[in-house]
Amino acid sequence: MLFNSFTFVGFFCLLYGPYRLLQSRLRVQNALLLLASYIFYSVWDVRFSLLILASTLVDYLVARKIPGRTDREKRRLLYLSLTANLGSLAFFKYYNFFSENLSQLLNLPPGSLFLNVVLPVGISFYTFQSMSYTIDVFRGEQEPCESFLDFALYVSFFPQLVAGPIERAGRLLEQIQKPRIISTEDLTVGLYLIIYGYFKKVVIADNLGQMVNRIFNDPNAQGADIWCALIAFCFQIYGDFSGYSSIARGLARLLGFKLVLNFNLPYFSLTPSEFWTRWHISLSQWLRDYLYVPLGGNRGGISQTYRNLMLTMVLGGLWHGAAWNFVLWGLFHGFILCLYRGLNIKASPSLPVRLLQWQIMFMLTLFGWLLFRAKSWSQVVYLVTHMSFQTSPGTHTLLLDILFYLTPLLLIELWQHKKRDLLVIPRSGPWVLAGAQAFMLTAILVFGYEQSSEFIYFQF
Amino acid sequence: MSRLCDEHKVNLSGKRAVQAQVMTLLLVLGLNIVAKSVLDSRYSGAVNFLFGEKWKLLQSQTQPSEVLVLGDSSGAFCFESDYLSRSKDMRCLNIATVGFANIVNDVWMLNTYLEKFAPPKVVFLIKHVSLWSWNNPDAATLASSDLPYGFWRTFSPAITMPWNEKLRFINTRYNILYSKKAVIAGLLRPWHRSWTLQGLSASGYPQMEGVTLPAGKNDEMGPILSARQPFRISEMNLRALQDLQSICAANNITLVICNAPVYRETSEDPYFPEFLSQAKTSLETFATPEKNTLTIFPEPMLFDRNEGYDRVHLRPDAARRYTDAILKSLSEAVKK
Repeated sequence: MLFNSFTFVGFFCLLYGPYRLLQSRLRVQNALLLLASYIFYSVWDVRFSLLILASTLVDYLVARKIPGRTDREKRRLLYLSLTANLGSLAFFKYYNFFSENLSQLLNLPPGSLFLNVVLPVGISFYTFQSMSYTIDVFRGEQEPCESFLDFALYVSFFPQLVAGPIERAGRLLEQIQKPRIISTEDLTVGLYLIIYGYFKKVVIADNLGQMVNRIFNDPNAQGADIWCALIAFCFQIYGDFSGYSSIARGLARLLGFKLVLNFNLPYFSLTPSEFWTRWHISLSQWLRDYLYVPLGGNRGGISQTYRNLMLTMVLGGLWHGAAWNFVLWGLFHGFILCLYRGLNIKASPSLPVRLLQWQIMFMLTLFGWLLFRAKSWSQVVYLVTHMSFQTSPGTHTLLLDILFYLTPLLLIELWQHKKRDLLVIPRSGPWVLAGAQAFMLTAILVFGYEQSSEFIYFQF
Repeated sequence: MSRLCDEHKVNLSGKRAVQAQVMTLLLVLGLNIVAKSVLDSRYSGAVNFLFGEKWKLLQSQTQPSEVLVLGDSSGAFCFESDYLSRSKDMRCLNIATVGFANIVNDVWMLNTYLEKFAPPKVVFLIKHVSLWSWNNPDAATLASSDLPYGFWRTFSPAITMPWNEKLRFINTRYNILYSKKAVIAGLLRPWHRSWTLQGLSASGYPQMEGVTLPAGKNDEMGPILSARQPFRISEMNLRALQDLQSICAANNITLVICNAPVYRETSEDPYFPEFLSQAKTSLETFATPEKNTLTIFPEPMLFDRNEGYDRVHLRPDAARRYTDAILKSLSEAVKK
């Protein structure tokens, strides 16, 4: 069930009335949310629900058994959870990727090891969320959850189930277990985030996506058109993913939950490390806490720090999808993180230097997105070697279109950046909020792409 | 100092929060009303405008015509009704609308005409060969006229509309920002101007602004040819065509069924001759003298890129050529 579908709007409206009526009955309210979450997920494929249920059961039971055990026993239990979670992720997401590469390596006939495996939507998100809970219990940072219903809701909470933000038990589970009071602020901010999210998805991302597809699918794309497509993709993926996160956070807010911030104006970054504190924040923090730090982080000298950074980023890249381009993208980001660290480049206090730093970082980000979007290494090489400032008869229109769709987003973000406040619009009073919301709703009606596509991050 | 932004607390009282949401809705509603008034006062944009404008034209007629042109937008553009009126001194009314409205709309229009005037001598039904298989009329198209809600139940023949199509009708009629999105988007992004309907002549021939549509715009033949679909007349079109024949026969009107011209490049598809031969066989079964029905141009005239606004709609020069050819064929057919 896509957020950008009438079915979802109907589903949420049907849910919301009874949910509010059950305000004083926490357990029943949670049961209703759990049922809604499973219905939401089953609409894709009922079998997916069985998988998430299995993952939930394993982590629930393992975590319940951890307290009071010896370190050795605890470790065994943790490995059991990790094997179950990473095993299902490896099988459903990576089996065909590895088998295909193995076939090539062993010179086997193509497809000889291929299995027709359907990738369950959002498996990478909920697996990480569920795993983090068990690790936290293992580390003694989280009490095991007593109620299976609460834990199942923590794993399957529908607003963030299929594309994050990846929540931690310390945040979300705690909110599930306590009565929720839905304030005026929750309703106002929730509605604003939902409208802003839809605006970013169906107006910006989907329209830019049309231009991107046209040029990336054109084997003869040339010159400035490639630049345009790259810039368009840069904002398409941002609009798509941050739009989803915004809708997810808005929906959760209407239900009385506060989800973690997932995007914080990423294209204002001056350095790669800053970029990763602004882009897909919940994943970056997960990778930091459960991969980079356990690997040793920056505690073991320069070479080990670089190794840990590269490993974290490559695995982060692979998390996005079972393909070499994602590995390359991760490698590239690992490399620039190491490079900036090695050269000790930090955000400068001087404005002209900051502008230059911003420009360089934006170009690096663009190159990263080229690796991410390209279908093959040969396409990367082709696009890089055919990029220039030479225009074609269609470049002018393409550029105007990109500017047309990006101008409102850039103006909003510049304002947010200047005020250091992501909620500057709702904080500016009812008139400004109403004007902005009316503008976005009108844009959704007029420019909303009719055959709106799935969110890009669903495939991850 | 951290360069990261926060989400600061939003201190809106309950009253002001409600105000903001109500204002949002009022602003969208206001914009909708503005859009309606702006767009109602000008002809512009998509071909769907033809539907509403042709109905207006039909309802405003004060004099009878000898020739009526029905059919889809390819018919509206390929039959130069002004030229016929001028050169042949015959009063002609071109009320061909759009393919989405289907032949049932042609029957409604003919019935409406006959309620007011004596029968015309000839009725042309001009359709693009790809459009015979379309089934129910499109609710969004029907909504783009001033006809009252539910007219499809009161007109003859009455049709039923599923509830979701009724919702589309209401959405299209009252949510102007949505239903006229192509026109509004065209006005806001003038570098994307496609063709613009400036209005209709007195005889119903569309007056266009001289803008060329992108040559790559597909016509409806594309999916048919690529899927190798056989020629088919939908059930509703078949029933409506039979109704049209009966009305014409009862009123002594000659019904002339014509295929609109086809884009030359489209006709070069290897499957096209086979599809066309099926169409000819199927359409010729309707050519029965006892029902006053003739079939002309079962093999459609072809046109080149510079002769059309796009792959379906002819420019006036080419339309004149087609109109001449159709009249010549008609007189030959009548002589036979």
